Amino acid sequence: MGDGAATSTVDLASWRDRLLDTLQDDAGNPGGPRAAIPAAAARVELLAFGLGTETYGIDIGEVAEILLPRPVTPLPRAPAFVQGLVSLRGTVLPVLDLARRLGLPGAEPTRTSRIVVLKDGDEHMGFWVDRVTGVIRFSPGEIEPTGLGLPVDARYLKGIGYDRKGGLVAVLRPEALCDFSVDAP
Amino acid sequence: MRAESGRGIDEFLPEAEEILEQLTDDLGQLEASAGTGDADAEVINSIFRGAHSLKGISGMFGYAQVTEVSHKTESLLDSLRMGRVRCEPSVVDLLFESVDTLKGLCARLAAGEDGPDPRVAPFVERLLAAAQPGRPAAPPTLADLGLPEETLRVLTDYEVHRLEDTLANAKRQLTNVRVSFSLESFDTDLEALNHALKPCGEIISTLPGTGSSDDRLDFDLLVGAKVSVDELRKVAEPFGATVLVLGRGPAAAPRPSAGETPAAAPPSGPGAPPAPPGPPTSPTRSPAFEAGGDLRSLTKTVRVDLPKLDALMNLVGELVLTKGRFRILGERLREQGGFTGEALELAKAQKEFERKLSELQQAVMDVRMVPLGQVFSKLHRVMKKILQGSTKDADLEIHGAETELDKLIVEDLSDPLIHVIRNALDHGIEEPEVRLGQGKPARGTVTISARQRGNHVVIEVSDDGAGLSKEKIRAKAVEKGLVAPDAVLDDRELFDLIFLPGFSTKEAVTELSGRGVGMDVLRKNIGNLSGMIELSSVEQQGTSVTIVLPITLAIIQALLVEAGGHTYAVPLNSVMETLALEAGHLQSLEGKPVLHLREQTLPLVRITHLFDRRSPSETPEFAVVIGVAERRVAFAVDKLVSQRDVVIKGLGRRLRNLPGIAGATDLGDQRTVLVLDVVALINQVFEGNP
Repeated sequence: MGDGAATSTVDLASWRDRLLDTLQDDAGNPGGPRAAIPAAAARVELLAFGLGTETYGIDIGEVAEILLPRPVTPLPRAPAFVQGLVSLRGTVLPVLDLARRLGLPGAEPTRTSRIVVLKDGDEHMGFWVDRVTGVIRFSPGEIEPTGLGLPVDARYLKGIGYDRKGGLVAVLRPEALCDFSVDAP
Repeated sequence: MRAESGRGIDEFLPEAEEILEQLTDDLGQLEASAGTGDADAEVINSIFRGAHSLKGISGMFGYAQVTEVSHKTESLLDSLRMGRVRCEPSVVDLLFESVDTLKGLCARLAAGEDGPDPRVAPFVERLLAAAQPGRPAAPPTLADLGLPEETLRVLTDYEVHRLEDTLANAKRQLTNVRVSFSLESFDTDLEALNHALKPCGEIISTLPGTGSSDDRLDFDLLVGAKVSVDELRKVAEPFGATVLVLGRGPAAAPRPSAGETPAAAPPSGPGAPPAPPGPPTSPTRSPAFEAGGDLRSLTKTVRVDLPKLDALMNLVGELVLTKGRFRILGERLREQGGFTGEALELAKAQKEFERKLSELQQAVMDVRMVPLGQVFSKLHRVMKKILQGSTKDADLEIHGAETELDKLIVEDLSDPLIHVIRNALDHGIEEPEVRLGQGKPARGTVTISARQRGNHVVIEVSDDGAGLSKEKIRAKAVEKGLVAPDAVLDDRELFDLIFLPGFSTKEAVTELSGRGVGMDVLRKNIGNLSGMIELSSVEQQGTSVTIVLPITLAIIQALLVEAGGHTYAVPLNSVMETLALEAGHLQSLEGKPVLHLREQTLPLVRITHLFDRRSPSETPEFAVVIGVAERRVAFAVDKLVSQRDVVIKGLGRRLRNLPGIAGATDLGDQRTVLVLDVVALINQVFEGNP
């Protein structure tokens, strides 16, 4: 088995990292499986989701969970892209309108809307998207490091790639999406 | 050892003791399974973690010998869990010896002997020797499992070892639990499955399957089952999983394993030839150390991190919310069906539940509570220091030191109290000759008294000094432009002027000036603790500062109000009163609405305006009068909803600085409600209307 096998191996490896994060159970292997997997060659696995007619992707390792839409309590005085707060298992989760965060017109809730919850250090941050479409796998070379010509603020773009059907996928930087602050008065 | 080892030892020993106790327990479990070839990997991992933690903390505190022994023990355990060394009784004995050695070292530390112990070096040599691999690495035997090659390649060394070990173990059956979950919920589903499978055996590896559809994910869980395959199926099938048996047949167990009983071998298996149970071991342990004394007696307390207590408090808070829901349901039931037998039973059970819950809440709260004496006792020293080199003399009297408050509040209380005492000594207490001339004793007295009042604690600091001159306060406030020359002020309003920013500043060298830190900062600090501070004074007789604090900040009583279609929670400790607005209440002053209430005129503000939200044009129906420290504001609202306990949750680090919002709370029905930061909002009102 040539390249194919090798890439899918790494591919599995990145999945596993995510699972290990998800399953507390695996905390029971000190210095165990995770440490043994070389991270450098990791193939990128993206959660794909849509805003309007466009498709975006985000490293699936940064995704904590996906929520069904629920009532969002608006948060006055916050930046316009902050949609508000939802309660989630005893904590309060800020929810951002991803479209507005990217400088696009705001999203309207629809039947397919979802809240994609990203890890933000040891906290979480929710992002409202129009729909979640699935998982796309890229090898690092398949993501072009350019955001030119896209309507999206380049700060948030890691690059672009094309899915199997040739559709454009804008790959986002989760850390940039989460990075904002409200200054103390 | 280190100069400050006395301090370190107090922190180190309780932790070390806890870890060593756990290690002893775990070793007991391991001993039971040693030599059977069925040693529980979880137990070995737990021991490994224990040794690792001990290495870490002893290194941090600089106890080199403890670090050395735990480090070498960790190495031995690593060899054990990777299968380089077999789990035999001799190894377990050596591990027991390690724990005894570590206990001995700790006891020496506790006794204050801090020289290196000569017995450690030879023991470490033995540990090192034992950690050497006693046999070549096992040949790969996983080829016949029928797993795809790409799967085998992602397995870690540890997982490969566990798989081989399981294959070689006739008491375990290696299985593949194959399952498919929806993309949206796979994490919780998988967790649930894991949880269910755990009692059935060891989940060696969780592998994502390939070729899944767009909205579903497949997983292969390699499970070393200690129950029969049928039993495993019973557990797994409710999750939609299929159980495949792996590696049955002669090729599956090529490696003989120690101490198997043929009876337990699977019927189709060859039955591994019994192997000698390892090299004979020394029948008795020959410890380098007797555990030196009973470590238990060294400490009597359990240290608990505050975050853990917070988590507990949060849980109790959630229960309090659930209690509210039960009550509503019960009421609804009674409305619909009247007082039937069940409804009454429910009401009774509910009462019982509520009583126990409030006891639980109290108990958790008690753990966080510390007596104010902890901070008061410092004040004696502070006072001595301030009076050093001064011609003044004063005593400190303390009452109510046993009054308890949330630890977090007590910690932040020390600076404000020192500030108040310094003021009393600098500006209140007079020189002895002045005092004698006024017929007062030469020594002044500063009195601190604390008492609980409902859910609050009132701390009063008073002195028998010169007191404040109202005329001077007034003159100064006018001079600073803080108040109009012709303003009508009652005593409280007048004394409140002292807390305004810009009143007590450095360059104003009057009897009231603080030392760089103004009274406004003092008020702000108390406000941050959701407290209020007020001052009263009688000239020639003395000054009294009153601080009112909530007992805890974790769960607060809140008033829920509705304004502009949104619900807000207002901390009840700042609510002075609520009233239905009538025409006579509403006035306008310089174009701004004010509330005229019993001779007082308060700014009337719509919450929606404060938050720049559109508000309905109709006149508000209710007002909530808010007071923090000396400031009073009336919030106009559309509706008073209810009063209840809420648990304040932070907004996270990105949003924590949002002005005017202290946090949010969950009302239990997926409704998230903002908790107002009353201090910030009131300040905003005053700064907006100077």
